[in-house]
Amino acid sequence: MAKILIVEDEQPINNLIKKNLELVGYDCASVFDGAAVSNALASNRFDLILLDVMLPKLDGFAVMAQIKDTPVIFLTARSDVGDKVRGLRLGADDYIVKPFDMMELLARVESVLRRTQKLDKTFILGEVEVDLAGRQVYFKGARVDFTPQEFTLIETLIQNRNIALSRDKLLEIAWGYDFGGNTRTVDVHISSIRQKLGWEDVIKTVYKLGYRLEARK
Amino acid sequence: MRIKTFLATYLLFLVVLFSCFGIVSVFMTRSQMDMYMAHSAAEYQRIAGSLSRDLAVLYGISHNIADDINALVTSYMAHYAQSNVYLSLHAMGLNDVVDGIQVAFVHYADAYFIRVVGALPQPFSLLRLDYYFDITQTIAEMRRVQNILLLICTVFAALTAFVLYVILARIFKPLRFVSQASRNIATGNYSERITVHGKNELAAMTEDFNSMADEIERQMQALKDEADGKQQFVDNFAHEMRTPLTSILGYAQYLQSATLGEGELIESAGYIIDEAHHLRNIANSLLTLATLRGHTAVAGVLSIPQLFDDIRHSLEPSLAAQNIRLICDIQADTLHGQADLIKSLLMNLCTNARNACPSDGSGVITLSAKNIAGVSFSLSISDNGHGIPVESLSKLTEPFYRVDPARNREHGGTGLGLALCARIAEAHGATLVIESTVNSGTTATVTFTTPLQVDNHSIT
Repeated sequence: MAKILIVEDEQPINNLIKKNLELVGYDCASVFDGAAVSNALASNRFDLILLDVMLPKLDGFAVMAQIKDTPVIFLTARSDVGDKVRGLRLGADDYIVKPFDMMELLARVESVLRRTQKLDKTFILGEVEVDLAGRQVYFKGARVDFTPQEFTLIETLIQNRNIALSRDKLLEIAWGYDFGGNTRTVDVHISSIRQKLGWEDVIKTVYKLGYRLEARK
Repeated sequence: MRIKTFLATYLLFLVVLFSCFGIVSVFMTRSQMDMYMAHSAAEYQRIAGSLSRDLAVLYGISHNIADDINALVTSYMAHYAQSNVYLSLHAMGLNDVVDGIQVAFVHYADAYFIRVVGALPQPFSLLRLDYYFDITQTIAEMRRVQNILLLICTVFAALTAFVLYVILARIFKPLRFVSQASRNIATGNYSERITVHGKNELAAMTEDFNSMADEIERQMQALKDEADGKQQFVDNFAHEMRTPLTSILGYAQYLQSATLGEGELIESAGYIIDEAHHLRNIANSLLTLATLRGHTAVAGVLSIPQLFDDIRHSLEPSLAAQNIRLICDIQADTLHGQADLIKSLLMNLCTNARNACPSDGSGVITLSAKNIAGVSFSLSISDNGHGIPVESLSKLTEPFYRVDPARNREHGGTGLGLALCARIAEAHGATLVIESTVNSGTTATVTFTTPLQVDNHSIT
């Protein structure tokens, strides 16, 4: 599992990011000022660093200069174009402007990790094994037929596991913005996946919201 | 305007000049002519008298009267022709007799004469003597003088035109500057000024113009500063709102979408509550700031020892936790002010002092009240904490200004405390001055200079 270092001085936000990342299965460590980053890097190897720009003691740009080959996503409160450009010039892989949506943060984290090939290639839960790279699903060792749309949906659920996703959000992520269908489509696909994998209890229906893939360790 | 003034003045000048010239030349000509006519008449009388006496003599002695008369007249004519006078004698019929003499000015072609016609005295009244005085030369001379005068006048007029133009240009120069400067100011160049030397009306006008420009520049600057300040405030406010809102939104989403244990649930809800509290504090402080705008404190008499005791009491727990000593230095008994506001002012300043102090037991906060020779009354709060960089001192009372660029909220402040303090001081007619040295401490002094304080607080 990918290891992520969170550098953010606002304790509530640091904690919030950590909780969400842990929910979908990443290992996280938190530091609260710029000076602590080098220590954290010395004792641990991280696959990604989430770095706030405005930090006490040493600001994000200065910290950036110390980071050698770990991918970085900048968190910036200022929607200042100059900041973004400066961050990207310094070698950041991406940036997110505060306040950000958790879903967005997760998507960007995942995108950077995929690019650096740090994402898990398979997801195993009980007797189900999902080969994320080969886009195949196995149940009790046997391959199960999945339509491409069904696979995209299960992939979305896995990547945001333990988080309830609304039907609209699922439509947006798995079908795309321009998909004209209604939320009934989501229900139909979910029940098909449940049936094929015996996941009636694993994909939970969340009251008045949508669905959640429960994969607590 | 300049051209109009020039034309009007110059026209007036020309009219006066040439009228004078005309009148003078007419009078001169007339008097000259009168003189010549009088002279001619007198000379005519003399000639007529002399001629008639000669005729009388001639009649007595002459044998050939007709020839003698001719010879006599010819000699007269020859004699007077030398002085440009032409004479002729004519016999008249009885019916043609003239009375007295007639003097007239006549001209034949290019020649001008004064003609005097009359009968000779008795007994020769049937003889008419015609007298022509040739004044062609004189007239020509007069014309020449007139022409010279006219030429001089014209040259003089041209010279005047030039001088007048130069003078007007000089006079109107400041006006041109004023109009140029006005245009520049209208296009936004508010620092435009005019320099005019001297002590005339135009200099006074430019002075007024400059002071008007000063005032406009000052007011524009004030407006700009105010707008900048407001923009800064809005930017800061947006930032201050964003951080708690990110937390509230994030935790609420988290609560909604994840399955949580009881501990996590309470923790997440706790964050939401804390951040909401923080937002409420900001809202309250902003409201207080707004209420204090233009507010004049409702003054009551406050006991200084009582006031300091209250502060000590409120701060005691947190001071004890950080091992900070609070020293009260009371050199005045009472203060005129609004109790809640003064208390809030002191609490804010003391809290800042506390946050600045080290917690290793060396932290000292001094709270003092002083009367300075009956001139002013001051409250001051000093600490020996980490101090404030010089470049930040002037911005401390700006809402949401934070010395630390990372703007961390480790002490939970709203960023409005000192803005409030400044407003409270203002409401009491007092000034808030903060002096600081990095790593050695900060002193905040509130100086009351209103007569109310000074009058009622003789040195204790």
